[in-house]
Amino acid sequence: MEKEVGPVYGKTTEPSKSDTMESGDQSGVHMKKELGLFGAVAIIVGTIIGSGIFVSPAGVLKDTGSVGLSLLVWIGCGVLSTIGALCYAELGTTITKSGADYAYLYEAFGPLPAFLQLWVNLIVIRPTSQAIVALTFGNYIIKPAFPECSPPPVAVSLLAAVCIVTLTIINAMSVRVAARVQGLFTVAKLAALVLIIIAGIVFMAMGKVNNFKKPFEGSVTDVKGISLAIYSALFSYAGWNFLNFVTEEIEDSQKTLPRAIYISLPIVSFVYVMANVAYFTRMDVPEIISSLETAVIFGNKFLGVMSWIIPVFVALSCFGGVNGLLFTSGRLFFVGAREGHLPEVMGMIHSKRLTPLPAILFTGALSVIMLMFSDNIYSLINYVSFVQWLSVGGSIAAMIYLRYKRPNMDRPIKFNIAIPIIFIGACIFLLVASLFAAPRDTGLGCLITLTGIPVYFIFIAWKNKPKSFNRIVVSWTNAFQKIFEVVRQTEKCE
Amino acid sequence: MITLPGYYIIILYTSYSSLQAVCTSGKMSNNQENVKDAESQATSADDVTALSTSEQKVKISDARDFTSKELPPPYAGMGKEMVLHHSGTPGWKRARKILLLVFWGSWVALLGSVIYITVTHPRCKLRPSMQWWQKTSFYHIYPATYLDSDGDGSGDLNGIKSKLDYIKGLHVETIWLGAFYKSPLEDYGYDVSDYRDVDGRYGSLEDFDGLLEQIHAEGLKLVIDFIPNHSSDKHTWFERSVARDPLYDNYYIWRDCGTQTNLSLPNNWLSISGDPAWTYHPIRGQCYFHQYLPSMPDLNLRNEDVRVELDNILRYWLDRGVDGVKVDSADRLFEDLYLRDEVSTNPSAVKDYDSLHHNMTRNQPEVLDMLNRWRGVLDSYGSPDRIMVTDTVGSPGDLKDYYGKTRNGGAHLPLNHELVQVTNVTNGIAISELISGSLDNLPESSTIHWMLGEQNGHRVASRVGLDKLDILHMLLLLLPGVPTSYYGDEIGMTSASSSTYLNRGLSRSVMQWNPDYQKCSGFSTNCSNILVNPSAATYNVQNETVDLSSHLTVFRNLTELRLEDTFVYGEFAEHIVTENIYSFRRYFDGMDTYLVSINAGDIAETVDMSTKVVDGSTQATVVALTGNVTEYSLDQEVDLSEIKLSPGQGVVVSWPYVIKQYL
Repeated sequence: MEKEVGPVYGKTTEPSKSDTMESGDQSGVHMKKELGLFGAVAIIVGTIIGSGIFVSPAGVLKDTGSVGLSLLVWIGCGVLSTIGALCYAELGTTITKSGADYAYLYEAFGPLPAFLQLWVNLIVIRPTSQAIVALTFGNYIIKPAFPECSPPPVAVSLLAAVCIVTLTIINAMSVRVAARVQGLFTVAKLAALVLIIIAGIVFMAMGKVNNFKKPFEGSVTDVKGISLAIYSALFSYAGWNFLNFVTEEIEDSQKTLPRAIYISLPIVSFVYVMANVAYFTRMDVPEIISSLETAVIFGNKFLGVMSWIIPVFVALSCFGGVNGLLFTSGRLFFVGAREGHLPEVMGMIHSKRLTPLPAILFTGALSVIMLMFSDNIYSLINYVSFVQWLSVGGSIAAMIYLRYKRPNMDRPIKFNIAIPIIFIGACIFLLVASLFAAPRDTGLGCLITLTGIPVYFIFIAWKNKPKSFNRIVVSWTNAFQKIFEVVRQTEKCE
Repeated sequence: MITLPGYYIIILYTSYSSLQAVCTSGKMSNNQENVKDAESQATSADDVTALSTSEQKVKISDARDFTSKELPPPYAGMGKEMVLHHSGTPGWKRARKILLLVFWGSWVALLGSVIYITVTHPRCKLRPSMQWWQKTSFYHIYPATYLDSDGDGSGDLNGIKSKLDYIKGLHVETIWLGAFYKSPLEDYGYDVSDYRDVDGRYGSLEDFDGLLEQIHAEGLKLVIDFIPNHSSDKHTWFERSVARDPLYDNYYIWRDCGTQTNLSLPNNWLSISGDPAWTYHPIRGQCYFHQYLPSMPDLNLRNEDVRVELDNILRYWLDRGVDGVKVDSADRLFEDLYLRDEVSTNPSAVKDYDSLHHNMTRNQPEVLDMLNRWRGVLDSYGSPDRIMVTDTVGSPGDLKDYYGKTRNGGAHLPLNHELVQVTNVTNGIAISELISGSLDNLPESSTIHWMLGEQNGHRVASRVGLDKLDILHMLLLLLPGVPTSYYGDEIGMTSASSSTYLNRGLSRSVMQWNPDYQKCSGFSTNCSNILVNPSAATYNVQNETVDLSSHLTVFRNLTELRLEDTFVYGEFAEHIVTENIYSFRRYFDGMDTYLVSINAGDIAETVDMSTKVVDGSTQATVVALTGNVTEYSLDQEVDLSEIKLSPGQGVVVSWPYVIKQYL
């Protein structure tokens, strides 16, 4: 017995190396600030640029009908996303907690709206997004073995599972390694896009500018077409608020967070627009619209024997995308649990590795489960895109509300009130548009969200639950703690 | 040492609550009171003793004791030291090890199964490499009745040449030109008197060359009739054979048969008119054999001289540039060497052609050797293939042999007459049996052929009725393989009212170009002796071109649709077959899937066509329709679970290949 207790005792009295960066309290356990400016930029750029720009810029082109209008939409949506991100820079420095939308909704509108946001993210948005990006990864990795046809779906799903499990392990093991993975893969995907952009510039220099001679020929003029185009372009920009999910882990977040936003959004917008320009140098409008893998086809036109490089980069890009999603999902659920909205154990971190291990494991496991329903996850993600915009809009509304309600809050960054108002206008437009364009999907999305209300009242609002229930919860929590060596994060005084 | 756990609880919670007191900024909800409760309870002596006495059951009892004093949620969990203490015990260590092992084990298993599946999964189905004739479609023209360009009352080669635009617009790729050789025209030109010349009524050799050049310029192909079984009795070979010219003595099948007044025929064989197949020739004093009319004596293909003649004739036309030949009457090329009697099917029956089993006069084993020899001639022209099509009568089982027993033997495409047998389309199951009968008998890696109409017998529109013509065209043009369309069937021409020998005129009325049937519908400027079916007022190229629900428009839509890769390369699978409905899918890896459904019966039926077991598709886009469909329209999105078809209606829908892995 002595032997077993000994090391425990020893460890606690003589802090190991990993513990040394903690605060003076020897039993203090909390996550470290591992994200510098580069890491922060990698989170934003790495999650925004998923596979979309490689796989199918067709959506925007199809809905706008012309080269010129589609480029305008890409630029416009880049600007709009930048405006949104600026608002989040203000929110992120004003409310310095991790969790992004969840934290902001909580702060301004109280626990119920925040819980619903958390709920939808927990059961649908995060696991499905992770599963979908992982599936794309699997498909591109396995594709070379099946050049002329689609690979066996089982193998793709299993490979997606391998991707999710691997990244779950990495994220559970070390925040630093996860951040490095994010940085590495963000560089890789940018390299691929830079390659495409340079090729495009070379082709333009060679005089391949036929598609730009009459840029607006064939443009649609109806509102519906343009709305759909804007919708799908904004979908490609989605992820600009991801850094705010991890505010607490950014070094000197008051400065780093806004800087990362200022750097990332222009990079992404530039890369998106220029990649589209590059495609137009060698591909006609119908060819792009009908292509499932625009970048691959484009790559085949100039890379020759090196054309395998594009699918590999797409796969890497997806891998990095899954990592970014898992990284931020872990923090979101961690914060949710910390506020008592999720089981206590989800808000715990590993006593030595200092990673939000239970939250990461949970979201990873749920993603793998989603893979088993890969037939339906695509429609599932459609249903909830409405909710996502509602949540972003709500956060911006929270920002305006707090300006009015708590004018004296410490706001290191404060933009002109016009900025959030412009963005909230855009959000309202998108919400109304999707309500009209896909009332059924929107309704289902709302329904999924509203299932959170009974959950909220039973598990959170109801304080005097039976003792037996509490006892079970506690014993489970203890068991989890013992097997995963996780503890509640102790507050850190700054 | 023993009281250590309890001690740590106290330390931890004291420090925790003091931290809470100082650092409240980060918390949104405060559970300070809860913690204080816990503190006071944990410090009570009960707990300390309980913990100290239950060392052996530390795992379970500890937690229970700790919580038994009703900690209200949220429960903050154990502190780090507690956790580390417990997790360091052998039981939890082992549990953690096992968990890790399971975790890594399943990771390796996942990766392993991905590799295993990838390695063992069948490789991509590549598009089969196909020769032109495997994906072509024939348009069969009888030259005498297509278009008269010079006003002599007979259609001609230049007439065909002037209509190549129309033919190209039908999206057919190979013109099959019926007999155009010099002939007394006792059997519509199939009684050839000179194999190396064009009959004057149709034009000249120059006209032929001009037509062929134009056909090739349009990117089309030309296949001509090759008639080696018999010649006309006006052919010089026959005249010299009658005169017992030693060079031509054995060009035909001569046998002693008594005298003109006292005939004793060599055997009981019949010609297809039902008369004896032997005719006495008074000059030579012998009987000659003829499968057809007495004016069409059968050539003796057992004579090497005749075979050489035929080889040279074949080369003569191939040298001119034709892309292939249709070997006429291929099954009748040889008869039994010993001239044995054929067995009667029914001794008491009327003495017509069908009263005998033609096991001595048809499908003789020598036929295949002959075809192989001609195939050699064709193959000597290299690439692109010059093709041999054989015309035979018989079951799909009989057709098997004509594909040849070796890779480069036999015909490229034996004509398959199964759909011509369709006289009464009322049953989806019957159609299914007909089609699978043909497909099941198809030798491996061979190409199947389909046809609805031919020059002998009734036109398809008269056999099945105009209301079911479109659905049969759907079958003809969208089934896998090569279709032949007989001229005029695309506009729904019906059989001629009057006929001649063996009904051979029924399908040979003039092409109906415009509604003015009094003036032979645009066929000729000289209409004195030409009868045109009055239905030409409705069914003619001019009217049907502009009518979007006409037979011609439907035909054109279908021929255009069959150019899609799925129809060229795709697999075939029957889908739903009922008393009324016949439906099938065409599909291929990575290509759009098509579903063709027709109602061949007499009752409207609504069928669930959703492909649950195949790829889960429930929605599809309408890509082709028969002219009588009003419930659906082109490009319409339809729910596959409810496809309603009335009799004679057909619809083709498609959906994209299901690739779930793309975003």
